[in-house]
Amino acid sequence: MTPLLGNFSLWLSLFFATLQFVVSRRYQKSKIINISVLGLLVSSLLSFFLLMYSHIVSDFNVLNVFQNSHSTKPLLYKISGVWGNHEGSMLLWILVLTLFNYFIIKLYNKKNSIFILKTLETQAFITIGFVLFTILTSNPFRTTSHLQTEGLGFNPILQDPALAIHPPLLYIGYVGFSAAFSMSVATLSIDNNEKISWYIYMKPFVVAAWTFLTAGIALGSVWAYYELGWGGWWFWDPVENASFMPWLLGTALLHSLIIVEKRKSLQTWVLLLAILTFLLSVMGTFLVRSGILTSVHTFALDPSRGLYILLFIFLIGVYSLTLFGSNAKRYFNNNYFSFFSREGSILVNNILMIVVCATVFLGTIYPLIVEAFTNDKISVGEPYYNSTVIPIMIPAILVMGIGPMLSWKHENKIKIFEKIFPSICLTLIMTIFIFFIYQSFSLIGIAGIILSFWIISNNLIMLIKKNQKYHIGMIIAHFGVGLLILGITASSVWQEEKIIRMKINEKTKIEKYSVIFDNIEEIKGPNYVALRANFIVQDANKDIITRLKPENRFYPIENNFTTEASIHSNLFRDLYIVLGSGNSNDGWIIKMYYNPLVIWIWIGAIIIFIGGIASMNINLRKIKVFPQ
Amino acid sequence: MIKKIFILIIFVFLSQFFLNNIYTVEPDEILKNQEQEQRARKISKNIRCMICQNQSIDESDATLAKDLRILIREKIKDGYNDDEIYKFLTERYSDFILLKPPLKLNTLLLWILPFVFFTIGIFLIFFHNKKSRKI
Repeated sequence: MTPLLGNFSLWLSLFFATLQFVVSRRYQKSKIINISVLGLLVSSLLSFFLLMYSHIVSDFNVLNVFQNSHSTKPLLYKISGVWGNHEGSMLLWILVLTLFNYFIIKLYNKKNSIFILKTLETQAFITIGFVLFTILTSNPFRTTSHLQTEGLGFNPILQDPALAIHPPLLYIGYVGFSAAFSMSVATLSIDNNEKISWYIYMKPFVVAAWTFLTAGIALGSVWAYYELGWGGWWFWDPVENASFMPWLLGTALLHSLIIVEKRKSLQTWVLLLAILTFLLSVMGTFLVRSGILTSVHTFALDPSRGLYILLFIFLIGVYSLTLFGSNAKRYFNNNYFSFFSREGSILVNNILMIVVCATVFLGTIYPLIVEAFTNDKISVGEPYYNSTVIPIMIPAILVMGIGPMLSWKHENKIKIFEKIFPSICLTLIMTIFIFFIYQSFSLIGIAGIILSFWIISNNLIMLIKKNQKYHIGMIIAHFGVGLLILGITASSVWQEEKIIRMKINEKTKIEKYSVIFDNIEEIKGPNYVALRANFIVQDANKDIITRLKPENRFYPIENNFTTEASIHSNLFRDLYIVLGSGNSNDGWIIKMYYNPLVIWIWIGAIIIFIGGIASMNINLRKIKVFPQ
Repeated sequence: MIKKIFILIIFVFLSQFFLNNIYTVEPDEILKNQEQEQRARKISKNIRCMICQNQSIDESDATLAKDLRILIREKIKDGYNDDEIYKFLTERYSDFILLKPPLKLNTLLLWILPFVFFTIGIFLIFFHNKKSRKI
C-alpha cells in the first residue's frame, strides 16, 4: 500500500511541477500557481514521509528499505537511513527544492511579479528534471520481488548522529543555489525596461545556501575525524571535493553580490557565477551518484543515472549560458573602482576562489580523463591538493583580513597602512606568543598562525571601531574563519602520534599525559557487539583527568567492523585513542593522538554558521523593506 | 542468551582474521631507527593503497598496504634512497600507486593548468583595474 501511495505522490509532484512550469509562463499570478506550488510542496512532503514511514516500520517489501535497513537498527538511523542511500536522498533533494520554491512565491508582490514568475518557471523546470530522474532511474518505492522478512542492514560507519544530519544541511546548500540560478535566468530573460533589483532577492538565498553548505561540510569533517580513526578530518576525497567546489564558487558569489548591491558594478559577473555555482552543485551530484569516481568502468556498468544527470546539466547549462551570452550585455555596468578598495579586494578573492575551484575540479576529474584517453591509471591525492591549493589560499586569506576595512571605490595607500598597523602588531605579538608556547617551527606552521591571527585581530579591531558601520554577520563569520585556520594549522603541524602494543595495566606517555590501560571488556549495543578498552589518563601531577573508552565494534548483520575513537577535548588539545586488534597475551595495538587546538576548527565552523544566520536575517529584512 | 554468546564467539573468531582492523602502521612494523622510520612514514603517505578508495598505505588496513609498508621498510634498511624506492614501486605497480602524480607527458596539464588559471586570474584583475581607471 505505501509503495503505491509513494509512487502516486511522486507522479503528483511531477504533475504539479509541470503545472507550475506551464502556468508561470503566462506572466500573471493566478490561483493556479499558488495551488501548484502548494501541491508540489505537499506531494513531495508526502512521498518523503511515506518512505520514512516504510523505513520506520521496516516494511521490507519496499526494495529501498530491504537494501538499506534492518529491524534491529536504532530508530534514529532508521530515519536517517531514508537519505543515507541514493534513491531516498533524491526525495530529500526534491523536498528541499520544493521548500525553496515555496519561499520564492512568498516574495511575490505586484512590482516584482514578472521576475518572481520567471524564477518559479525555471525552478519548476529543475524540479521536473529531478522528479523525472527519480521516477525513471532511482525510484525509492520499487518493491521486492519476493516477500522479505528481514533487511540487509545499513553500512555501520554511516550509523552516526553527525552523519544523520549531514546530508540535509548539504542539500539545503546545494539546492539553495538553485534559487540563485533561477533568479539569474529570470533576470537575464526579462525585458530590458523591466529592470528590477534582482540581487536583493538573490542574496538571502545565497547566504542561506552558503551557510548551510558550510555547516554540512563541517559536520562531515567532524564525522570523519572521530569515525575514520586516523586523527585527520579532511582527505581530499572526490566526494568531499564535490561539496567543496560549489562552496568555493558560492563564497565568490556571496561576496560579489555585496559589490552589486552597494555599487551596482559587476552585475554580469555575478549572474554568471550564480549559474555556474548551481551547475557545479549538480555536477557534484553527478560525480558522487554515477559511480564514475571509482573508475570510468564502474560508470559504464550502469550508465543510466550518470547519463541522465549529464544530459540534464547539459540542457540547463546550454540554456542558461546561451541566455547569458545573448542578454548579459544589458547588465554591463562598469562603475569605477581601484584595485585598492573594498570592491577590489572582493574581486581579487573572487578570482582566487575560482582558481582554487578550477584546480580542485582539475584534480578530481583528471584521473578520469587520463583513463578514458590513454587507459593509464593515475592517482591524484592529498599531496597534489596540498601543493596547489594552499599556495593560492594564502594570498586570499591575507586579502580577506584587510578587505573589509578598505573604503569603497578607492583607498589611499597610506591610509591602508594606518588602518592595518594595529592588527599587524597584534598579529606579530600573538604569533610570537604561540611559538613561545609550542616551540616548534615550520614554514607552514608560521604561515598558518600568522594568517589566523591576521584575520582574528583585524576583525577584533573592526568590532571595537564604532565610527564605521561594519556588517556584524561578516565580522562574526570572518572571525570564525580565523579560529578555523588556527585549529587547522595547530592540529596538523603540532600533532603527536603514538602507535604501540599495550597489555593490560601497562602505562605509556604522550605529551605530558600518562595513559594506563586499565581493562578491556565485551559490550553489546543495539545492533552490534564490541570490545571496549578502558584507559585512565593522568596529567603530570598524577591526577586523573579522564577515562577514555575506545571501541572496536562488530556489526553481525552487515558483517562489518568499525572503530570508535574515544576523544577527550578541551580548549587546548584533544586526546584521541583508537583501539586496534590484539589479544591479552600479546597485548593490543593502541593508537594515540595528541591534537593541539583541534576544537577551534569546530568552534570556528559554528561561529561561521552563526555569522551566516545573522547575515541571512539582515538580508531578508532588506527584501521586506525594499520593494514597497 | 545463546544468540549473544554465539555472536560473541563469531566476533572473537572473526577478529582474528581481521587482525589489522586498526587503520595504520602497526607497532611491530615500526623500525627501531627513528630517522629511517620517519622516512618510511613519509613515503607511505605518498603511496596509494591500490585496493582502497583514496587512502594512502599509511592509513589503510588492507593486507596489501601492510605488505607494502613492510617492503618499504625493508628497502630502507637495505640502504635504498627515497627516489630508488619510488622508482621500484612505480616499476612494479605503475604511476597509479603515487598519490602525488609525477610530472610526465600525461600529467603535464594537471601540473601546469593551476598556474595557468592563476596567471589568467591575475591578468583579469589587472585588466579590470586598467579598464575601470579609464572611465
